[in-house]
Amino acid sequence: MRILVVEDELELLKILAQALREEGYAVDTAADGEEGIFRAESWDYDAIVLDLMLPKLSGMQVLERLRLEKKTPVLILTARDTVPDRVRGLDGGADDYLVKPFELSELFARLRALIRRANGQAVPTIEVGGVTIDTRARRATQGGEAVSLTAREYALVEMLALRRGQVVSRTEMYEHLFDENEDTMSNLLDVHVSNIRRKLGKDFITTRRGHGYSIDD
Amino acid sequence: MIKSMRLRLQVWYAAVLLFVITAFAGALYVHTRLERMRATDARLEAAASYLQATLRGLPPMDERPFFSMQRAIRARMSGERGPRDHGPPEHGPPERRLPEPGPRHHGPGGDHPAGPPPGDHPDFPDRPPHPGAGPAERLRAAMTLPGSLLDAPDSPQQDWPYFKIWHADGTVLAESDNLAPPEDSDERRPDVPQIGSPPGFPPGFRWREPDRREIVLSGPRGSTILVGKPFGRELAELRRLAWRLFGGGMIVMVVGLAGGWLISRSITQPIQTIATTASEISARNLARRIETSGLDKELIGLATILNEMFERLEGSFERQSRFTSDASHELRTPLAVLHAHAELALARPRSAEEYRETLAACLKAAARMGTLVDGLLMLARADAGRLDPHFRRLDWREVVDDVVDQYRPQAAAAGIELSTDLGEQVPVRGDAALLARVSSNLLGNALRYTPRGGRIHIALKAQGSDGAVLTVEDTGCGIAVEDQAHVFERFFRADKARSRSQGGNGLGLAICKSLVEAHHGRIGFTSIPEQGARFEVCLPLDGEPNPTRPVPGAVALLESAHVEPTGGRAGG
Repeated sequence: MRILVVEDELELLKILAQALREEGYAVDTAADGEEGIFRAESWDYDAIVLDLMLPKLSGMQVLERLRLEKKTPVLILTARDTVPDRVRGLDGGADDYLVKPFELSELFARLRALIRRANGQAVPTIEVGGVTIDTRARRATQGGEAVSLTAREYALVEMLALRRGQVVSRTEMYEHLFDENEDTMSNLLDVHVSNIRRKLGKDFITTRRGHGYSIDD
Repeated sequence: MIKSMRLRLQVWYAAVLLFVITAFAGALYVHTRLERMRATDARLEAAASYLQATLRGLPPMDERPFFSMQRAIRARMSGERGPRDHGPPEHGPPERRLPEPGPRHHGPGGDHPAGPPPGDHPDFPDRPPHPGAGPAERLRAAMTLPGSLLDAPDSPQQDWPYFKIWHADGTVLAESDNLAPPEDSDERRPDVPQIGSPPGFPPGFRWREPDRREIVLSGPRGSTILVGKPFGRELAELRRLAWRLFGGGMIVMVVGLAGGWLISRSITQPIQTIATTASEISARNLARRIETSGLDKELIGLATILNEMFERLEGSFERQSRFTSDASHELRTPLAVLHAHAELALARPRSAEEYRETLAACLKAAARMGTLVDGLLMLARADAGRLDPHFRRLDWREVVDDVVDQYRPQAAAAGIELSTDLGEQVPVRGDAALLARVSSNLLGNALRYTPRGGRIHIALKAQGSDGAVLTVEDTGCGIAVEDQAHVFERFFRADKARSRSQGGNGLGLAICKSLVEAHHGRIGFTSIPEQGARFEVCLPLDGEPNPTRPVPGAVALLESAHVEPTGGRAGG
């Protein structure tokens, strides 16, 4: 899962990115509106965390331009807490609204919900191929026993599980699992997939040669 | 409702209306009454004159014929009363009726008035009424009032005039029939006036009882003539008139009051509307205004004043709410940083280095909040007039010098050339700490916006009577034309990103302005974008007679600042 954080407060941007990475997300950052819209338009993020008071281009303008072409879930993270502000934000195309100061745990929960809903999933647990994936705890269990997955492995499983039955291309997987700062070697994905197969069973992930990977429903 | 304008208007209106109606009706009544009385008096006078002339017109008589007449009258009266009491009259009517005056002829007998018809009015006293007649006939004829002097022939009998003539010695010479007591009883009829005997009534008009009008004239040879007429019918008519006037007045009053109530409503209604609209305009919907179209000229003024007031209120509410929202944003952001750092640090075990980093970040956020709270408090105190500066005579040059020294290392580290021209002593009255803050805010700003290799020049000089001027000039990025009007606004930042990354919180210049104004000074600037900015602070010199007097240079500077940025000298 790859997330874009647009925030002009550098301290906050830094700590948010760090916290999200620790949660297993791939995180890109932007410090002003122009950079934000540039990144948001260039990649398919799973979610965008957007501040409203931004230099160069305000959060609302970024949202307006983004909505012209993309349906990426957007969570507005701002210090403006009045009802008219929230209404304007949500009506302007945002999917959620969180006021500063905030609890990281709430931000994470809201992001999980946004990503889940964007993939047409209503409940936080996914049952697939005898494996239960709990998106709240970011954990997978098989036959009642917890399976130890790394954050990146879990993210890969969750991504395929959310889109079970579909083939997800390697490019897409790279885009969603790694942020731009990571040097993505072409075989890194294969390493993760084989690790997952070792832990959850050989048939859990199907390889569609020339297309990508999928988890069958 | 007691203090209701409309009610008061109505009460006054009612009072005026009542006064007018009463005055009109009263005048009409009095006029009518006088008219009636005058008519009656004229008639009485005519009758009396007629009788007087009749008496004069009788053939020359000495005392005796008068007495004989009197006797004859009395005899006739007693003689007439006698036979009537006891049986049908035996005498011929002419003799029997001798003393009867004309009005009597309206009686049951059905005869027409004995007097000559109106067209046959005799020209008394020249013509003897009935030549050749005997004294008794003559008197009888003479003592008959002609019909023209009576009321309308169909007027009721009790309204007929009556008369009585006394001889000089007080004996009654003649009286009209309707003064006689009733024929069948000795008791007095209630409608017969009790006319006393003395002939000594002063001549002229008089009232007998409230409803009889009489005239007294002196006749020939000391006789006295009294002619009277009941005035009751006229009085009743007048009473009716009075009631009609009263009723009509009431109707006019009611209609007038109703109309007045409607008119007063048309006056108070717009006021009510204005009041309703004004009361509906609250902090939530300050954008609403009172509709002035369709209002009267007088009310448009009021509505316009109110609208202007709402305009100002809205503006100040807007500024206030923007300030609050900005302040909360500025406070929440470091709070969010602090919160996120702490939460993340606690999420799992960390290395000592990570904890140290977290604590350092928290400290930085806390320091930023501290500065902000400090600035907000100072502004709040300045707004409330509670800055409580410890004014004393001080040397401004010293204050500026200290601040510049503090900033020298920072300027050197940023590669900015810092030059000063502080000159001689500059005595001003002020608070050293607050003035130091003004200088450090200006200098801090200059450093923040001046790139490496730039220059900052600080000059201070006393300008004679104009006061002292501190100039801080830099070769930085300047202030964009569209931003120049907002420079002294709270939380305004020309370049948010750069300013914030260097610790600015958007309050520095706002604080400077408040502080300088608290010192009765002026602050202004000129700037050319991308070339630099020049800030000027003018303070009155200590010892000036009027320290609150605006400094001319500073005012001109301020006025020109927003319009023309050309005054600014790039690179001081």
